[in-house]
Amino acid sequence: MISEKFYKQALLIRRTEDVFLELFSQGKMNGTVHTCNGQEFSAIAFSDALQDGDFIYSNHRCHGHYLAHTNDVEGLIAELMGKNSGTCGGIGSSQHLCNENFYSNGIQGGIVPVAAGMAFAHKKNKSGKIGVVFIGDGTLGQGVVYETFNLVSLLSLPLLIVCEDNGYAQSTLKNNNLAGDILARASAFGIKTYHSNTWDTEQLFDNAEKSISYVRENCKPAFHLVDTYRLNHHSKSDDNRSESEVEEYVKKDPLNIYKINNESTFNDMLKEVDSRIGKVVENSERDIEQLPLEYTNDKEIININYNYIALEKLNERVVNRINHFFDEIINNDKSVLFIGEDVLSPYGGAFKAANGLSEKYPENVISTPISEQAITGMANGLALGGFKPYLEIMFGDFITLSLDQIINHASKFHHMYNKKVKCPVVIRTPMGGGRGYGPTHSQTLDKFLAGIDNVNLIALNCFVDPKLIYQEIYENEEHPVIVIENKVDYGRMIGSKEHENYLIERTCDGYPIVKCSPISAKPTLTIISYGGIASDVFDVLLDIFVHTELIPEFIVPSKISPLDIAPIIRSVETTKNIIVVEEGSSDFGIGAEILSSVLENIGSDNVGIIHRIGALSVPIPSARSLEEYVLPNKSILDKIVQRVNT
Amino acid sequence: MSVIHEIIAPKENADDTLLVSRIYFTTKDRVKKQDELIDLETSKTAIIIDSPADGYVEYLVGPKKSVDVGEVIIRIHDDLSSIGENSEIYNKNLTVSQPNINHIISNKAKEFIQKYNVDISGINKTFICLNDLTNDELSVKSELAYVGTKSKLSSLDANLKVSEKSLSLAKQTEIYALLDVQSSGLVSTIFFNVDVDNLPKSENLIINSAGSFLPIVSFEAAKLLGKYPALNAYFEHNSIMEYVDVNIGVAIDIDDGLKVYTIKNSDRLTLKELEYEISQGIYSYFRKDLKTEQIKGSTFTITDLSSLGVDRFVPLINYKQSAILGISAFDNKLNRFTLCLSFDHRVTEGKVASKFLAELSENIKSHTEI
Repeated sequence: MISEKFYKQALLIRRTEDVFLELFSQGKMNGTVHTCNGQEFSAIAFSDALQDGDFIYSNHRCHGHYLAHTNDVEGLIAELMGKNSGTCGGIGSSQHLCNENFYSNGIQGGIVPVAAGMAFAHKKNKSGKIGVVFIGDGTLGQGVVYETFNLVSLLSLPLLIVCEDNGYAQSTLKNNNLAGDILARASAFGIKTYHSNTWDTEQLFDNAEKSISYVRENCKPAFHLVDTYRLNHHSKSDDNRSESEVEEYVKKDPLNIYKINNESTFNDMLKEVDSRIGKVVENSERDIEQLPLEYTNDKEIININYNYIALEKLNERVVNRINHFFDEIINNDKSVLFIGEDVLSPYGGAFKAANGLSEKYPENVISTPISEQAITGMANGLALGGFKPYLEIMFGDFITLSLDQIINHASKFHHMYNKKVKCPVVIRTPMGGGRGYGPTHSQTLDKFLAGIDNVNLIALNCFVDPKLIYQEIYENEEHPVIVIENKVDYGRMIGSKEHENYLIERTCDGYPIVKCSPISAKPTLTIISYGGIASDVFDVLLDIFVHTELIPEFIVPSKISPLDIAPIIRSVETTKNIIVVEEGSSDFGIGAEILSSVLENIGSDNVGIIHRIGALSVPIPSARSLEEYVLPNKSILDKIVQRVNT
Repeated sequence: MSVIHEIIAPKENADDTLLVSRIYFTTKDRVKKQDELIDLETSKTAIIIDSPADGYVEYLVGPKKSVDVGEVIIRIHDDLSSIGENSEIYNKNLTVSQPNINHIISNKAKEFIQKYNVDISGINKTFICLNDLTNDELSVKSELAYVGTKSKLSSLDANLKVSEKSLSLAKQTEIYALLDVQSSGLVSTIFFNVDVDNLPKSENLIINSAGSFLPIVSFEAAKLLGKYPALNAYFEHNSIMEYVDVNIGVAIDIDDGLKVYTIKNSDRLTLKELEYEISQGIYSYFRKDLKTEQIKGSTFTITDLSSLGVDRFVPLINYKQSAILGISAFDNKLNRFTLCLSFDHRVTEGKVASKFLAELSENIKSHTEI
């Protein structure tokens, strides 16, 4: 028989969750809750086997895991009651907890690669620590789980994946969702498997210890399937199982059996546990919720230096400068990791940004399988684990596969964990057409990446040295950054654009704004563009004047989101006309955002021409003539002339 | 903690814009009274502006930038803290070499230059558009170039004798004013016959004592202009400026030079009031006591040559206007007169002008049918 203290722990978890349901029915809690009534011993068995410094990643049904690991009833109850004294200041609530190496998130499979990244960080640091990630049988429907199985096995990461199989994915019976054999899925990736259940607690505790020792001693992943049963609803009132079915498991529940066999001890335990929980609820009710400004007011202070200086002309190509940045930075800082598909030398990445790096820094260049979602999650975990991962997504088009990790994980960690963590992951990816790569390798998907909370979107261009921008990211960014590179720009010489009638300057800050102003003439048209197409716009500036009589001033921001609109407004106040040129389709796009910001600031009465130019809203064809027709790059002049002269 | 001086770009000659050629300090530098702050260039001269006081300088413009006359270019502060953190910092160390002017000429300007053989070598501007050639000093230059060509032709026949009469100041002003719109080469005129079958000749309200349709045409035109704002407007710096008020200017040119008598807010007057205003204007003209107030501020001109028996004519558009309406003589045989509308094609187009005339004609006729 397992120790009495484990029953007490299980009782604490069960009673805490019972109280949650009561508090919900009394309207004292906001949101939702998923109780683990009946599954408690799984949480306790694995927590017990872990050491200080090991970590746990959990899911929506995480209270048991949290309490088993931290015993923090106070923080948990206050958190679910939305109080500032809660584990995460009332921000994360039930599904989003973070404390003492414990993390949970409400996205099912997404937590698995993040846990893998954190395990990777421990392995790299040679800490001897390992991690456990808890998933459910329903989570096995998500592909990212298998991408991560492959990764952890390949990279030999110290991570135990515990699958708590309670037989239902929300309300759907497992057999209706899952084909084949669960253990065979893990075995197929060369991962050692374990199988236990929560009714035979001795075997469960024994196997938990064994599986964790295996992971720690061999620095290898393992998969532990735990059969269990949830005695409560999936959430609060969504149970359609028959009473008789549930009753069967109520009877075989180890805590209920303990109660029958040890009534007096159990009642003493219950009294003690209920008294503790009762006091916590009473105290928490008196606590206050976080003040709105306390939550929202941690925007970094943007130190804008509008000191314009002449543009540097480098006799070097964009891609080489990116490569130089990594060469230099990895040489100086071994926490920098270059991660991506096909990045090992001699290939060095599809666009050669990693050229030669893996030979010089084999520990810092990580070539991955084609698993965008998992490697993005792994990069997130590495960032949480103290590393500085720079993830290359081979084509910008593929970043859609990473979006769950960007939007539901990287973007949220800092705030939902009440600013306890930072996730300085950097994702680089080339966008843009002009090479005939067709519909899924030519897109400019920037608009889908702009405006993500707490994620900066940067776009390189061929005017400014990319090394300067990456240096800024390296030195000053503490939160996720997406860097849009451009396939055509890679080969362009930096700062080589010039014209005797234009003064080309840039601001002195880390994300320089490039401004091309007409010499000895007052500009009468503001043109805004960014990224690769900025080069094409520059090439037609003089022609725009010749055909329209409007003298363009051209502004190229490199930080797209959040956007510093001030220099753009200043220009439009002079010119009274603005055209935004973007390579992506302009419907609901970045151009729309820029124009609305301008109009909000200076009013539509003060602007004449307000216009967007972008790609047509159809997939980008490969045939040259069609690609030129769909993308705006070659028709910027025509489109501007057409707009101005009508 | 405040701005103690604002320095504006001064008007030194006919140029509307000046070029910053050098700044002597960087924003936030401490400056002393009479320190040289900035060099400005016009097409003719260079200006150095000294600091009017001790303080901290804030440049609102930098080298190679062009500024409008009257624009604030420098502020002197008594304290550093009042210089906005977000303002652009202009730096004296941004060295700028003297621009070697390489003209970029717009297609419209190119056409004009070829048509009138304009010499642009003296133009101290990089970007030359049509407006640069038809504005102020330059427009006179181009006009001179045009005249110069003609005089060369006439001098081929040395036997022809000429006598020189210098132009009066009034005539020179008139030329200058009319040149503004007409020199764009984009003025068009549309003619429209107004058939008046039942002319009530005895009705004073319709045709005044001089036998003219001027009052009724002015009355109806004033009312209609609100619906056609492009005709009550002018073209400037690639923009269309629409007047809010409708002030009909009545052109009078009877032996004492062309004068345009302005009737303020014409659209709010009754026909009787308008006729009274016109008669007062003519009266003052003859007495030669038209006040400046009475001849400025018109937004649309009507010129009446009906008393001279003209069939139709092309009226010339006034300075800062986009259209002018001419009234020809009444044709007793055909029972009609012709309205002649010249309009600035940069501001509007023939369709609008035609619709205006058609509607105006209908409205005039509605009076005669009563």
